[in-house]
Parts: sequence; structure tokens; C-alpha cells
Amino acid sequence: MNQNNSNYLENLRIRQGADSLRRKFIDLAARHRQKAIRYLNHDKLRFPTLYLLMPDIQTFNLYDELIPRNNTAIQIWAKKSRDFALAFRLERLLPQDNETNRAALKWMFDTGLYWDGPSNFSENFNAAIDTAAAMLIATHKDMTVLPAVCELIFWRHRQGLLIHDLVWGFFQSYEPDSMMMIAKYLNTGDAKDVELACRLLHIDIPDSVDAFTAHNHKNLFEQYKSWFYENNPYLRFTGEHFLQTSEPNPLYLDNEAKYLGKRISPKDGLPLENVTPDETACLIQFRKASENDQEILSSYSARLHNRDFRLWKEWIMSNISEQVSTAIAEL
Amino acid sequence: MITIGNKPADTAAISSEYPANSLERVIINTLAASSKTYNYATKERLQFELKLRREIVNAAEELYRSHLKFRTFYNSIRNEDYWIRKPDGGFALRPDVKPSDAIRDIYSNSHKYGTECATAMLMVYYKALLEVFPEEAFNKIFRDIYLMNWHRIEPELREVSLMQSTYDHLPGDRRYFRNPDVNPETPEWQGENVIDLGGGFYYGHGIGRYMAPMFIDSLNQNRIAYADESAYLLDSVGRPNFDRLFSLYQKYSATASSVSA
Repeated sequence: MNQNNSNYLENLRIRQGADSLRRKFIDLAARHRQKAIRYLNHDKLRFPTLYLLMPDIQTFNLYDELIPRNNTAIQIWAKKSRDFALAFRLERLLPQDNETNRAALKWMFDTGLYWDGPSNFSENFNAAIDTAAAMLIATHKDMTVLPAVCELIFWRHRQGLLIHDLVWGFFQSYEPDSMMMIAKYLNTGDAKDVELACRLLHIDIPDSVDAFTAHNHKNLFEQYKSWFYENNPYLRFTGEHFLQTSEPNPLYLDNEAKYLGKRISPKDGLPLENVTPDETACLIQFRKASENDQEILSSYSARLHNRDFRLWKEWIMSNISEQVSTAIAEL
Repeated sequence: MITIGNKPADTAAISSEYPANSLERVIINTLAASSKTYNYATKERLQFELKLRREIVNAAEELYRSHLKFRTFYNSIRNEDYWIRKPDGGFALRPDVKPSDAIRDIYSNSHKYGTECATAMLMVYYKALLEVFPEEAFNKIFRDIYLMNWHRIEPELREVSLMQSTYDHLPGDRRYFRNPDVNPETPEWQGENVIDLGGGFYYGHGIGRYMAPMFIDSLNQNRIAYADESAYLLDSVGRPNFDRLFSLYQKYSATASSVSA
């Protein structure tokens, strides 16, 4: 890869625009093919520039000489454009190693964020960015992109653009802490951001978001934060998304796990710690309680568990009606 | 069990108003045999639900036979004479056209349209409502149609966007096949919205008209490498608020009668 500090094609796109970039690239590729390839493979090239030149790369059939970074990006575009013949051809050119693929996706995402290209180009471009984000998160388990994906979701929403695939990709992390990235937007004071944050977190949207004061925004955030940190170890992702329902609830709170103080896997809800025979006996009693009492018991249990483990052990071994009485008295 | 005005209904008499083996009879029999009590304020209210469910199924069958293409929201297409394509890939009704004409155009010029499965569900509901409501009433009630998914939906249809648990599954219900291990390159196959057509068949845009195993197989073909979880059909359903729609129907039918009288 060329290590020079600037790239001719990047400069063209930024200074002269997409049309001029394409005209000059076509001229260059026709007369100096190797030079055109060198510019495309340059380490300073950004994804929007490659994206704009994809039809011309096809015209000059440059694929065999492009680096995997570029061919990975073109392959994703080919699949989004339903050009499966090209996608298949590129598959044979690409090395089958995870790191090359991850680095290419990261390059697409990092250098393509917030590009506001010509309208006839930008939709498939955004689709490619969504795919890069989702593959980084779901396939490569690269959680470093989550803050940027979260910012991009809110930015796109402000522009009235599609966010659903990006939201879906974000939740593929199965990372409960990612919810706090969204929750921060409850505190921004921007009505559109607050409304979206409420939708994504599945909390009631205030009646009049516009009339909301900064103080109220802070309260909304603090309430969510408090709920989240109390319940974080006992949350699992439900898999609900906007394709299925207008009000997806991304998280399910496992009150049984909370009652026993046992962490669960956020992806499948399975316990991450062993449950002893004594705890199983407690759980049998817990299941006989009403739904309302179960909520009271689990809330009190979590607080007592954190405050005084010895006292909690005594409390949870007492009979269930005594547990409920203590919990109601002390909550 | 069916009750009308809190009294057990004569389901045999109601059934006899519909042809043998008809969808309406299937629905009545399912409700009558249920362990849950389905109470209707009036017989007309029950008949309204039967009619609307019948039209939902008809609209789904008709859309299945149409030339509506499958496109993601990024590449959705529409007839621009009737619909404005928005930046999120949804279609907003043009202010200078009648809602009824715009909905009919989807069916008569289906080759000009392409979208995802959730939008197709909305197309089905609006077509069914157009068959049930007088055209003038439809145009008054549904003036702000936005066809996308469940994210932006008119209040009159809000409940179809929410999934609820149910004792019984009925023709005309919206169901959802979930694909938890979908390939991140094809998020459009994270699930499939379908209409229950009765007899074990479902219509889902992009896959077709099949029984459940075919939907599950199709979704499973779009899973991530080394996936360990199969696609599956959720038990919950999406249903319109039949009570609210019946009230609107009565209100506008009464207005139409008084005008014609």
C-alpha cells in the first residue's frame, strides 16, 4: 500500500466534487492504468471516493489488481446492488482471513461516516455503511464501533434518514452497557433526540417533549440510569426490532435472576452462575408469589444483596410471606 | 366461546349465514371452541370483524398474485403519481390524490412498486379497509397514509403494529417469523411479517404464500455462518382495534345513510 501523506483522488473529490473526480479518473485509467490502481490502493483513500468510482472500476475491470480492503468494500456494494456475479468473482479474489475482512470493514465505517454524497449515490452507500457496522458488531464482535454507531443513528434520525438497519446492527452487540450510550441522549435537550432515545429504550415519551425543561431531561436520564444499574446483571435482549413492531422492547428483566442475585447472559438469558439446591428451593417459593409480590421481592433482594450480604442470606432463607412483609416495610 | 351482549351466542345460526367451509365459518368455529370468552357488544360488531378479516385475507391473496417487487427500504420504488418517496424509504400519500385511488393503484400498477414485508402488510390492511368502508368514509378517515413499517402509522391502525399474546390464532391475524441468527449482510431477513390466510397458510412479501416450514427454511437460508438457532414463528399476533374501526364504520355509514335518505 502506498504510504504517501496525501491522495490525488481524495483531493479531487474534496476540492472538485464527484463529477470531476469521475471524469479525471476515467481519463487516468484509460491512459495510465497502473497509476490509477496505485491511487485506489493508497492508504489515505477514503471509502466515499472508492464508492463513487465503483462503476468506473467495473468499466476498466481493475478488480484483480486492487487490494483486499477495496475488493471487500466493492463486494458488499455488489451484494447490496444484487450484482451477485460480481460478488462471487470478488469472493475468489479475497483472502479468507478474518482480520483482513475486519480491517476492511473498519476502514469503510471509519472513513465513510457522515458522508453526505450526491442523492443518487447516497442510499446504497448508507446501506453499505449499515452492513459494515453490523458485520463489525455481529461477526467480528468489534464493540469499539458502538459509540460511533450510536451517534450515527441519532444523526441520521435528525436528517429523516433510515435508521432501522443501523439500530438492528447496534443491538446485535447484546451488550447491555450500550443502552447507556443511548440513554445519554435523554439528557441532550434536543426534542428529536429525546423522542428517539425513549423509543429505543422503550420508555414512555414525555407528552410534550418540546416543552420539556433541561431539569426534566436530566430526571429522565437519571431515572433510566438508576433503573439500568440496578438491573443490568439480570437483563437479556429480547430480539424485538422495528421490523416486527412499532414499540420494540429491547430488554427483558429476569426477576427470578434478580431475586437470587445471579447474573444471566444478556444474549440468551441463561444463568452465568450455578444455582444451589437452597436457592432452587427459594425460587420455587418465589414462583408461587403474585406478579406484584415477585417485583417487590426482586427489587428488595437486589438492594439488600448489595447492602448487606449476610442479612440477605438470612432474609432469603425465611419463608416467603415474611420476605414479602419485610420487603414492603423497608422498600 | 362467543357471547353477544354477555349472553351465549347462537353460533350455529350465525355460521349458517356463511357458506360451508368459508373463512368466516372457520373463524366462528375457532372462537366458539376456545377456552376464552369472546364477547361482542352486538351481532353487527361480530359480523364487521368477520368481514374485515375476510377482506384482509383477500387483500393478502391479491397482493401475492400481484407484481409487487421485493426491495429494501434503501431501494424502494413507487408510482410517483400517487406517492412521494421519503428519505427513509417510506411512501407518503401525495396531497393532491385520493387515498382510495392511491391504494387501488398499488394493486392495479403493482409492477411500479417495490418494498419490504412490513410495508406490504400495511398495503394489505388499507386495501381491506377500502373494501369494507364506503369510499368517501375511507378517504376522510385515512388522509395521512404513510407506507413504511410500523414506525410511523396512523392512530386508527396503531394496534396492528403491536404484537399481543393470544389464546387463538385466526385468519387475518398478522404474525411474525423471527430469524435470530440472520446474516448481518442481509438484515432484511431478520424476520418476516405475514398474514394468516387460514388452513395453515401464510402470505409474506418476499417469500410468498406457504405453510410455516417454508418460511422457516427460507429465513434459515439467510443466516450467519455457523448459526445455531433456527428461525421460528412467534405465538403473538398483531390485530387492528376492531372496536374502534367498527365505531368509525357505524359513524360514517350512518352519515352516508342520512345523506342518501
